[in-house]
Amino acid sequence: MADPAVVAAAVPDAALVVVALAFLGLAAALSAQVVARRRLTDRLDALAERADPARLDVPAATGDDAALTRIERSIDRLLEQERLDLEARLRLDGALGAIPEGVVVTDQQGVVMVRNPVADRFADARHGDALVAAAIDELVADVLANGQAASRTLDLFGPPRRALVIDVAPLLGDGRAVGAMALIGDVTERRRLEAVRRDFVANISHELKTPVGALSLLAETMIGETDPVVGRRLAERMMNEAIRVAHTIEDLIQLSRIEADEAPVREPVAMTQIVAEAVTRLRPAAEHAGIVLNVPEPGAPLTVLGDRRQLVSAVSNLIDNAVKYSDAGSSIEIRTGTDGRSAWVSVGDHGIGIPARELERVFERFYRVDHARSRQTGGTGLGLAIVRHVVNNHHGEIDVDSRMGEGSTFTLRFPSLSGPVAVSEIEDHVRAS
Amino acid sequence: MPERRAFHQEVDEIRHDIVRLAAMVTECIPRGTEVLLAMDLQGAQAIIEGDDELDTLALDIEEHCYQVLALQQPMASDLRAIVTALRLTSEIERSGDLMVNICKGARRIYGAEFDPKVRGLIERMSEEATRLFRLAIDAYAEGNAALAAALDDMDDRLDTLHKDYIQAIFESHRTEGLDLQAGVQLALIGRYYERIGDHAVNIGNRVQYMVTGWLPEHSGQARVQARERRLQEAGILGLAVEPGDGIDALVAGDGADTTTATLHLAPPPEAESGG
Repeated sequence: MADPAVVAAAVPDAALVVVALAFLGLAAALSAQVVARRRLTDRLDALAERADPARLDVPAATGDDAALTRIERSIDRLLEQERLDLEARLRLDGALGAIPEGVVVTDQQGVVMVRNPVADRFADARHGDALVAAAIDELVADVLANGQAASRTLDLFGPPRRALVIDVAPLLGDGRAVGAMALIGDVTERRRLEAVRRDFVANISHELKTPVGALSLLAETMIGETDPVVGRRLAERMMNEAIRVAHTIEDLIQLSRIEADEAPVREPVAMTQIVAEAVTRLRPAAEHAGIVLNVPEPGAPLTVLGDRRQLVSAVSNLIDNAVKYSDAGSSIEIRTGTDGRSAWVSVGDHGIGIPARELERVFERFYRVDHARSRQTGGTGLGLAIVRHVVNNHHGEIDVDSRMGEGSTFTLRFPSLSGPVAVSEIEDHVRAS
Repeated sequence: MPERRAFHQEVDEIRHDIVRLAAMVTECIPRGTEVLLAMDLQGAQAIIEGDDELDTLALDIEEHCYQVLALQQPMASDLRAIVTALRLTSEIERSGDLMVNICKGARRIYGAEFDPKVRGLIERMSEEATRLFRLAIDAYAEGNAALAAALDDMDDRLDTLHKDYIQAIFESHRTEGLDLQAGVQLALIGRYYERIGDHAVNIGNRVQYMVTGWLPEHSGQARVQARERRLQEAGILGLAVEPGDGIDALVAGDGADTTTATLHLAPPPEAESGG
């Protein structure tokens, strides 16, 4: 806008009208500017209020500066709020990620909004997981239609076998349905433990009651028996039953002792010694059954840290089982070796083998794959439970490789001593120290 | 191009459904084997009834494929994806039926005792069939032609197991007096597992076709053509040219029927003559 004074000076002859007009123009311009500024201030204030409705300690002063300050503070507060929100969201995401169950949150149309990492495997899934995904979709659709929570258990045969429970609940916000949430939990382990507990109670009463029942029956028969030949036969059978129940009790005591072992013995034991002792213990039984025990010459001398008696008992139990479940004329291989970090001993037979579905259960107390056969072999049903406890005590691992009709191989792995795998001479040295 | 996106969504849906259909079968194989080995009549009934669900989904997929074919008229790789889906549906559905047959077989031999060796081989055939089937579906889901092509050789293991199995049945019949009727049923059951492996190989072939447009049959077809061409050149017969013409027209795709040409999208002629 041109300065009216300059205009007036440039046109000295101009009439008063011109000057008046110029002043009028100036006034109009000034007032327009004031109006515009006020409008700007108002808008800035309105913006500040919109950005932060609950504004506190804002300067009450009027003017552009004050308005700008107000909006700056509002925006700062807004940004701070956003930072806090982001943190809260990250925390929630972290919490979702930390949940061991799968979590899927959908909107009211059933479209997935959030999926935690565990549930990620059900997105675009294949095989068993594809069935889980289908079940989730179905349940979510149900729940969104009815507004009622729903649940389903899925047994997947895999492999590996899994049991999953899917729980879906409607999500309410402000009293209306805003979506649904699915929780996918793996109950495989829980189910297994339940089965173990249930079977254990049934089996232990069976194992203890059967021989005791037989004893009392035999004794009863014997009371009325006059023929000394029959009496003798009855007495022999009573003795067998008594031996049987004594074995069970012995094994139970041994198992409890291993379990309660609070101050375990830790001494370096040569693997060859463990195997030799176990083989010596079982050789008569093997020969009696017409089975050959093969112990190949070990490659390197190996030593593990542990309780010699327990380790020998574990290996003996494995050989004992191998002998019981092999046919006459077959052989059993007892090998030792190392993979550099652990020392292993394996017992392989060519016997009847274990069905795949029973493999994980054979280490349970009194668990029997085939009741009829076990009764003949006279085992207590505790052998493998003892093996497992010994291995657990020594921070080791057990592998079983078994095929029905081809045989089983049990491999025990124990962490070997640090440094170069120790040789057997070390024994005296460590004992002395 | 909204309608193209919609089309690809439909193709994705179909693929998704096929993976689900196959998952039902892969689940069914170990489940059915357990039913068989445990002589679980209730479990057998559940699988036989569960097959209806499988059939329903298979029908849905087929219907969906026809709809896409009719309404979207896909071409080239899109067309191959849909046609492959149609073929896979029947292969998968048939495999499900085989598991039903195994369960029915289990009912027929209810109470028969069979020795550990036979049982062990059943377990292994089941594991092998499950593995092959899973790999076939992996190949499909990933569009992995190399994996699909490898299935044929992988199936050899199942075939060997099947031979051992039949031998074990004879052995069991001879030494332990396995009932002849049970023996025949067991042999049939073994055959069903072996057939599932074959279906997995077929799925592999179809996946190869989906990805590359090539089918194993193409090599045979090329051989037939080469033979006929030689005969023609030698001028021995005019009669055999007639049936050959049809095949040539299909493969060359120079005729009016473009759909057929796309369907039989063959590799370049050099590759054909090599096979």
